[in-house]
Amino acid sequence: MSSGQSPHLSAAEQILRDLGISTPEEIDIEMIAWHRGAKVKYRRLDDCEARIVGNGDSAIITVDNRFGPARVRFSVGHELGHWHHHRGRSLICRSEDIEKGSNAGPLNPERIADAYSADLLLPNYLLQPMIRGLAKLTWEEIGKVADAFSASLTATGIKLVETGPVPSLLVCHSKVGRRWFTRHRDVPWRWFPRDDMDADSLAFEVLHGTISRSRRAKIGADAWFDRLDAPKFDIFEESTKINREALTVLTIEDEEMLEEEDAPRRR
Amino acid sequence: MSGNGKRHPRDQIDRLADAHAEDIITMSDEEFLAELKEDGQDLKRLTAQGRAAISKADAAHDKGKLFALRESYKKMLAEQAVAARRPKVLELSLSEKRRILEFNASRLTLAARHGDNASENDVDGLLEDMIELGVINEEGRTK
Repeated sequence: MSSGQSPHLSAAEQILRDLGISTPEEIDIEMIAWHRGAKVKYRRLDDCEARIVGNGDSAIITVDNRFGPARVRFSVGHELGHWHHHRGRSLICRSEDIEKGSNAGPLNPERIADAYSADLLLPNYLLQPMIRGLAKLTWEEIGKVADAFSASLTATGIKLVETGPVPSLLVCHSKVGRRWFTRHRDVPWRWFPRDDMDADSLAFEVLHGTISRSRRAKIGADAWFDRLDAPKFDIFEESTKINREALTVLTIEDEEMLEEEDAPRRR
Repeated sequence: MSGNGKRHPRDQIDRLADAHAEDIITMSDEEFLAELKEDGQDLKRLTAQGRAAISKADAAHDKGKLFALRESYKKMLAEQAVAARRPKVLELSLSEKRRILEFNASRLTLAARHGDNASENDVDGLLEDMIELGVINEEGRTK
């Protein structure tokens, strides 16, 4: 579509559509930034990973490129999110704001910038046709999609859990406990992941042991959820280690777990 | 048309096509659809073909924009490679540099990912960006 806003496209996706981008390989983040009036520079940054400085309609995005290409792309997308949504404002995103991830409120500027970046790098109009038939959400599948879009495993995992066809959660643990999590729209709010990591979970071996990825395996839901009825259900877990943290995909196949008990309280 | 007054077959076909096009343009929508039906045409198929042709033309136009954008981006990169000089403002003390930064901050859009403090290296980068964006001059004076 070359003119007018399509109601089903986000602002970021509309930009890609307007540029005629029809394959993941065409998503050149530097060029898109240029299209938005922002130049991308690379230099060592001591106290931040990326930043944007803007004056009027022009901006410079500086990224520390020691973090790997996929993370750099996400950071550029994130700063473009600020450029789109928070122009004229001064925002310093502290580490703890970013780590809140989906646990931060939907109006949190970091979350808004992250969502913009995810839409720019993993636009639904290209992603959804690719994952429509996905029956199982595994790290292997997430990795294939991440490669196709040159996106990070974390960003791709979040996007696939939140918008994919498989009812699931993505939980991130560091050695001191759960840092953030996100969920599929069909997973009821009562399935709230525990703060600590169960020593019987395979994720525990990934986080504290020497393996970088666990196999996908069935485990009692009480290993992950602190609820009275949790022991009667089984779920599937599969973890991978990213930057000293364990990212775990929890897949729910039991229909009873997906039934709403109370009024919906989804975010 | 040839010089001896005889019409070239190609010209004759063109004139015929022009006449048909003129007929179609002057028809009302109802007359046009009725004619297609009379000819036994599949309207759904024709509509789909028309839409596909428009989408294709749109996509080609958008790809043209993508190409133009690539070219302007490459040009900017080439120009950027030429201009590289250490501005005088970077010779000032760190506290003076911070003062310039704070003085101009309200005019800027500013966001830093994982930005809890700014080292001298980071402050220098910010000042360079402000020069490039026309906020201050090379001495650090507000423009």
